Amino acid sequence: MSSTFKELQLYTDKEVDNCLQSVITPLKEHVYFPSDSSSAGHLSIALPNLSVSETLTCNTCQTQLTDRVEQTVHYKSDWHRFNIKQKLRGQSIISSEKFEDIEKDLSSISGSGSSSDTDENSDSYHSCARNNPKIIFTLSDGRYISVYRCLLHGKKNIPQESEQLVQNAQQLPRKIYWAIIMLAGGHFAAALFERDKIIQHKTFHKYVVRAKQGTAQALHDNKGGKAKSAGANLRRQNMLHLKQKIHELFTTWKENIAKCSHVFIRAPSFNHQLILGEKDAPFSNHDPRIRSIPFSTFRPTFNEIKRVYNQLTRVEVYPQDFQFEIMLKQQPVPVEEEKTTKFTLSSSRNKNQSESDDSEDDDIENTPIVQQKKEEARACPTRNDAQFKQVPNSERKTLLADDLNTFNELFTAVRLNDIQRFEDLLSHLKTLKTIPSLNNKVTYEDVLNYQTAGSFDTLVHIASEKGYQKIVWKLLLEGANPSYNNCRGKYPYNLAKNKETKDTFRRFKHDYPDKYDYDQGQITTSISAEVMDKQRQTEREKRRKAKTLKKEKLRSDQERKLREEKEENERKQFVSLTDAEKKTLAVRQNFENKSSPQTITTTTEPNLIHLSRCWQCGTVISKDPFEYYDYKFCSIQCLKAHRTKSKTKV
Amino acid sequence: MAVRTQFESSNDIGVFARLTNSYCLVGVGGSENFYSTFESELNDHIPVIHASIADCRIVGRLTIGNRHGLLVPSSTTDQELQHIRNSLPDTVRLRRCEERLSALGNVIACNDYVALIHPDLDKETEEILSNTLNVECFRQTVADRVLVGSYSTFTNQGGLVHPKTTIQEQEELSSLLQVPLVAGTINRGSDVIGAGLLVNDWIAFCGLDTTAHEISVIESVFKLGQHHHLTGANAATTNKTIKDSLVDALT
Repeated sequence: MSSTFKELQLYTDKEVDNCLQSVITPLKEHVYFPSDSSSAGHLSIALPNLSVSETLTCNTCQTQLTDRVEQTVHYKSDWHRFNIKQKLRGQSIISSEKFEDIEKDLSSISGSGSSSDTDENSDSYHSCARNNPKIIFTLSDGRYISVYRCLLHGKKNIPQESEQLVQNAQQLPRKIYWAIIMLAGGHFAAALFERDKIIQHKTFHKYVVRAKQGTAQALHDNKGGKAKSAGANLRRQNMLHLKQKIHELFTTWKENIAKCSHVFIRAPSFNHQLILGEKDAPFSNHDPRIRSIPFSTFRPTFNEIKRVYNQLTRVEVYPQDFQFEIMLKQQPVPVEEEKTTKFTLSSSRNKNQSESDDSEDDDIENTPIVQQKKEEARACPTRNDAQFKQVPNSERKTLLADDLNTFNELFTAVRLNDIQRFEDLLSHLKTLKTIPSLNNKVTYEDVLNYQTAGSFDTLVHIASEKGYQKIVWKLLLEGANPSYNNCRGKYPYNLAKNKETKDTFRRFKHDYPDKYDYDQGQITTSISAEVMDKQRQTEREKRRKAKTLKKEKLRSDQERKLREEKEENERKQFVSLTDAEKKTLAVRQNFENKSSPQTITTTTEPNLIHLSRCWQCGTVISKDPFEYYDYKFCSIQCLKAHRTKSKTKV
Repeated sequence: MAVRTQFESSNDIGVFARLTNSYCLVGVGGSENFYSTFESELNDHIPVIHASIADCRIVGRLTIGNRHGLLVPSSTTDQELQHIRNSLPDTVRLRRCEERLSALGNVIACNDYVALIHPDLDKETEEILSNTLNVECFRQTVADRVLVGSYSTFTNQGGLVHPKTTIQEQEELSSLLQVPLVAGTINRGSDVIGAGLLVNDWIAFCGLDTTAHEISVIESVFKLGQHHHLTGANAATTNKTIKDSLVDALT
């Protein structure tokens, strides 16, 4: 952003006056005017001559339609629906272009929703005004000027067209008398201004708000039973005093107030009635001079009034090439950036805590943050900090060629899970190192803890990654430290292939609690072999149970399938019967039912089949059947089908 | 032909009955007088069905229908639905519909082709309406009143709308519905047309208070009963129109 804007003060800076004189149009985004009704619809008085009218107009939307197709489409459109609702609410209708704009902002225009959800969009000017407390005008020389909306018009006298707004702006420099009145919580402050000079001002305070609990006494009384305490009475009395005092003040100021072109009032909730609206209140509710203060204010004091005045009279003049879009866009960005960094941080931390088998695709950028975090969080830095940096080259113990060879052999043994060879090599190395000879600078442990070039993996890393538990155990036993991390910041425990490998680490931690710095190696709580066995057993049992359940389910499924098949067959059999046969069957069953109810239960098989089947489709009727004559059916559809069939037969 | 009748000394007969080209629902009542009026006039042509909706007799206000179908509110019990289903001609579709504005007769006005509906009606209901009744639905008001079913009545021949409907609005509605419209009253000046008047393509029933003038307006706009006072040739044509609408109803 190369160019910036100037901040000027109304009435003090002459430039503002000049600018306001040359105001041309308000910026579209900041003001909205419903387009004036273009054509008043044609007025032809036709007597009821009982003919189909051929007028193709929609009176609601005041549009002319070309043909029947367009007409039907129009009456089904959201626009038409919206306008009908506008009309019923007594609000002005909206042109199709305006509606499209609104529609863009809205995900859906609900025609049948509650009125409250459309309220906000219905009155575009109000919503527009609420979102933009300032109006930006273009000047004749191409510059822009932004002024508080409330200086140009109040809520009662919203201008109907932009010319009016421009006129108001041009007249602004001549309207030099202002009043600012603030009243909240028993504090009252008012001042009359002529330009930036204060003619008169007054502040006072009465004790009306209940101490500590909050809310004014009057409001509290309205809620329920009146308090009878002395404090309550005092506050009620004070409220009356406050009212009286305000009224007295305004009667003495009457002449000056009459001169004022703008009256800014901030009187939230119960304070409102003290100043506005009531019978003997100093201002009427319909006074067009009354404006609200479009920003938040603090406790009404003289200083606060001066601040409000300064804020209200502030006018910004933007150069020609000022890009408002940039200004608007740039504001929310920093917040988002903060969020994203936070997010990545937390996500990477989560990743690290979780068993990171998926460490391959870890984001490289994240690791430094994580490591830094760890550095901060570490309580006892036993190791050199350099080790935890990305490239701990200087700290990495290097081996001589001899040792390197043995290490390489060990490495291959670990990789191939060749335990025999591994043990041979270890014992060999041990004996070699115990002999006090020249190259004892490099200890047995140093060889075991050697970090390979490039990846900085130790032997434990390799064994853990491959899931060779025995080797892991052996290595730990021999003195291979699990608290070295590799180039990706991973510890052997993190790389563990499976739960068993992890458990190996934990078991070792349990058996040798003081051998290594396990916290450093990110190994979780220790676990004894017995507990682990127990856990395994329960798990095994669980699995077994699940298996049996599954088996049973499969069996029952098969059984059900068989049953269904059987039922289907019987149904088909039943359907294939003629009505007469069905009837005889039914009669017989009825008879059997009555004669021997017990035998039915025993010899269910053939009888139950046809006991209560739909005469049409043959399905078993579970609920009360639909019936006509003696026929019983499962549904109305069946009944109807049967009836029509029988009719056609007859 | 327009017939004057009363439901238990109430003139708002449209509340207690629903008349279409293919059936007539009559609310169950204490006296059979009301029912028999319909039966004597209609029984040769269409079924006259005793019905109740959610145990209420105000079937005319709760249901909406035409020769293609009948829509009942969700409060209708299964038994009632079953009864109506069994009594209706087979070509008539019957649907229950879940709608907040459950007095369907008040919020919908329709003939066999188009329907005026309350602007707040659910989209789903609109869909059900067009599927069941085979109508095109238009969200519109009549004389700034949303209860289009109460304040207007129209058939395939013509329609009567609220007396305060402006000429422009009449023209708009007329072109929308493709039938001629007249603004008028019923029951000696009542503006709730839907409550006072039951009409289909060949017969109308109205409250006992309806004046002769109102009746003549109704007969002319709905093109009814001209054969009473016309010559033989015209009577033949009128009979033909009745037959046409009947054939229309039966197909």
